[in-house]
Amino acid sequence: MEVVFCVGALTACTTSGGWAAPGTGGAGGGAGTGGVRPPDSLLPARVRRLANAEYDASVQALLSTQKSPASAADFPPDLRRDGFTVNAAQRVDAVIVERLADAADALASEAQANGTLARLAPCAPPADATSCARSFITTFGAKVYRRPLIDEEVQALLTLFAVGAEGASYEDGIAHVTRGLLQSAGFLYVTELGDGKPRADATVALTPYEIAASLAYLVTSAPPDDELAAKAASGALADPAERVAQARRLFATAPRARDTTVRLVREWLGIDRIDASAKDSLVYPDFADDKARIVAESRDFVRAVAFESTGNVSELLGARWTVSSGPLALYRTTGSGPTLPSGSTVATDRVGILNQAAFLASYALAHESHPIFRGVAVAQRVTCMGLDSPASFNIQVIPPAPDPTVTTRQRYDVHVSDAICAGCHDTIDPFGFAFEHYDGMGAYRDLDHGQNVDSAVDVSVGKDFDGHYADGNEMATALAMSTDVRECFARFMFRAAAGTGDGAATPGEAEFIQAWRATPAAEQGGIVETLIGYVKGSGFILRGAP
Amino acid sequence: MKRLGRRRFLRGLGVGAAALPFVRLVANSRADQAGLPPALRFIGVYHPHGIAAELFARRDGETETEFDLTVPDSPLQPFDDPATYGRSFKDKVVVIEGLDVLSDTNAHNSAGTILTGSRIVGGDGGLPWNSSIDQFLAVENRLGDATLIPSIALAVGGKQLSARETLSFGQGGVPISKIIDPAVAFDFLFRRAVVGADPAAQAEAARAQRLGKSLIDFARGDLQRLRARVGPFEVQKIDQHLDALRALEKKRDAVSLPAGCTPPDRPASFPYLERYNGGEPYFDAITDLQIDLLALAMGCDITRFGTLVMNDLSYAGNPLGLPEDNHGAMAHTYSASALGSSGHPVGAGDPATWRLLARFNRYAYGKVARLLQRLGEYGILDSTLVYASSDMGNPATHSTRNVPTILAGGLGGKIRMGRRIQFRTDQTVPNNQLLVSIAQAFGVDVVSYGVQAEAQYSTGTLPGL
Repeated sequence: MEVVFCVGALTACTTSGGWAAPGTGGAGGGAGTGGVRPPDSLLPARVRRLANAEYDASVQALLSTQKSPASAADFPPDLRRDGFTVNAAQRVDAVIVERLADAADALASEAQANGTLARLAPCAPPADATSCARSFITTFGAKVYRRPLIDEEVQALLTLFAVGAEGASYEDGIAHVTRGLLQSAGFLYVTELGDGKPRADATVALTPYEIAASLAYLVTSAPPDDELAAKAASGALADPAERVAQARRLFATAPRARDTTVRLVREWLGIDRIDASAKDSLVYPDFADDKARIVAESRDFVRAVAFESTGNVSELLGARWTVSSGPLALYRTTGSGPTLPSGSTVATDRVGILNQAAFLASYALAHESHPIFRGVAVAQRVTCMGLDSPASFNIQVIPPAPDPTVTTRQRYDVHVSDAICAGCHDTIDPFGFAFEHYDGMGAYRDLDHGQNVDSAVDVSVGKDFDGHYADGNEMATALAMSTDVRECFARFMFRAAAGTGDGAATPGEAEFIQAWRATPAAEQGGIVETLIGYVKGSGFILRGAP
Repeated sequence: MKRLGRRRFLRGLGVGAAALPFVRLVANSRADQAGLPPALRFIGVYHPHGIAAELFARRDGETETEFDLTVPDSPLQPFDDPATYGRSFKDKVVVIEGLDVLSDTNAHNSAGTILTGSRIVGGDGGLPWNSSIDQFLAVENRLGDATLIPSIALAVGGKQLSARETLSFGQGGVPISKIIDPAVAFDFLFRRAVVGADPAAQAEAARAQRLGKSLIDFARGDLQRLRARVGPFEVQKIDQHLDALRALEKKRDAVSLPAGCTPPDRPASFPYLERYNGGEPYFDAITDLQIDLLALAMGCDITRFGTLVMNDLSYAGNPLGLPEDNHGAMAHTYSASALGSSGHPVGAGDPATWRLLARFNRYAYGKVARLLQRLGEYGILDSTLVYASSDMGNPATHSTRNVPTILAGGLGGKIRMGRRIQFRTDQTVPNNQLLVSIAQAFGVDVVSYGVQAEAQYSTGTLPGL
């Protein structure tokens, strides 16, 4: 095994094949039928467990509750793939199954107590209790399952009703059915299985109800609303134009669509990690007080750009303003920014989201900046440079020893003096060094360890943003203008929407990007438009047969 | 970060080391009665921040079996400290030097490799490729079926399911949820319906039992309907969910704990549990509770497979007198000699930094000793293998070489205890071989363990064990 004296050492910057994402059940189609393989570009027929945010949004939509059980301290967090919480690797294990049972119990009890179930399951004479229960099961059950129930399911739920009502009341029986529904596979797993009848080309078409559910969860993190459910029932969603119309309607009107879009963008850049981070209070005594505003900016700025301004990723990366809820004490403000429907904004010396504190502090250590973390984040998630994992090279890395007499940049400059390290760090390091005027919590600095900071970089990676930049602001301005960056953003939105967990390009992604390239240039950087592009394509409604 | 004195919060919580009641030994008695060989148990423990190798290493003149753990500044003192832990565990440990945990390049994900032996690619989001040894034995080889709960994963301060702070992984390298709240751990292990003797209470309990069973039956039926529709990849997912339901059902069916097993009171709640969220001042007390609950669950034979991910004490005024930022001011400032950096030329190093880190190491091993003490009290020390390790050797360089490795307890004589084993630090000795040895000791016949790029690193048993 080779030993190398650098951090995150890489010998080459190409993505290797051979390593598939664990836990995702593999990429591409399955074996198909009769020896016919489905097209590689299709996702496999699959099921995925609701992410925690989706679980919470779902029970809120179904039961009008304010509870967020999956956000509670004792609920296990999402298993992330490639940074995204929505993915096909999420499981239900022995701990989660108990939390789900407890949550179902608490939700059903609350709904019974506050009259929600009485409203959802009315029963007045002369109707008998069982027929009222059947009516509740077929209507409310269909909302929970996001499709009409089959007879077997209705019977199983009626059995639950009988057990719950025995020696108790009708209402107790309804609450017991609700407990069952909220722990059911039909609720917890979003299915992409079709009707179970593969076609000759080894593909399956999602059912209209699966299309509606996929669309609703992608846009709003919640089940279909009544209008979307009606479109599913009428079979209209096979038409791409109808899917697009429904997606646009939800983006325009559903409050949860805004939260969902903010989540996708935050997970794309990894800035949601700021929520659960801290800094060494001896080095950054102000961080604890500033953190709430850093977190607020990481949500509010994205929401403002996506829904109140141009809606474009170029503005996300290149804006010269931020929201008034941001950590303005850390920034030099230069007057007013554009006035938005939600209020006034502030012009700052920070260009775009990469120069904001959430990104800079997320990609740093507790006590100092980390240009490699920042550089890798920009290289991988903003520019889609195919960096391979250092572990694949089977080399042992010894990072540079701490040295208080030199700047952080000087310490990491060892990379370029070592041929093995330089192979990839020539690509990574300039992206990170450009931000060296910002310390580990994102505050501006002229000096690092008493030495002048040098943030000037030459980016030379063969992309349309190559050039010499004095600092992170200049570099961000170039990235914001880049077609390559807009395409990279589209790739990540595909990965987020498809929930594959693949950090590498797949045939399905290639097909999506091909279609994306054909869209008008003005639409290409649109945050919402990019997601709508995914909804429009045939890859949204077809799967490879299992 | 909250700044609380240790005494103040312990008083506020009313918890202390001796708060938990003892149980009669039940775990081995059933085996004894049935004439069976004693059951074997496994506990994996992770402690952060690597090791002060200079003070951990066997000293000149010491041999595999002749050594002193009580020398000044040794991180290993707790293993030979009868005054604190009731007895010496010198003859119950194997201290291993020179083992490598082949995880990723800068060791950030090494916790995920300790029990999986898997390379971890993908940077921060990376996961291992295969299950951890505890899950492999308990779930895949069904050794956990003999008890009420197949396995449990506990942690202190961090519930995120990333490789950097997770020991237990199911099939395909999918993390197992960790319990960080001792009260939740208590419920998971010991919660049973308390039923009064009067007929009304009995009837109510019977009804609750019927209701609970009907929900599990329904959920199982619904999962089986879904299972029939999915492809082979997805079946693994559904089956894990079915396993979880079965575990829940088993617990609900068991109306009482095993005979002789008296659970403690449910631990009090902590105001904060999570790292970076005010939890740090409570980590010491949480760690003790998690250890006591885990040992008790083993003593009661409620489970035989467990893992514990420990945390550091990064808060002002911590009882060890360590810098508030353990990570930055203790681990990252560690200045190693050639020994502590696996022979790489870095100079003589700074002994003051060794002593600082050794103090934390001693704290972590003190917790392991506490675990051994409890296991001993329950009479299962010799049938429980504790495997304690960290994610790195030299923490300043994030080295995955010479990672500190402690085996403790025993496996019914299958591993000779009371030894110090040294491997050459300039050669790769992957901990995969230790995992192969452990699997074989549990009667599972494997020749390799863990996904590595080169088969030589995952194949074969650990020599000399």
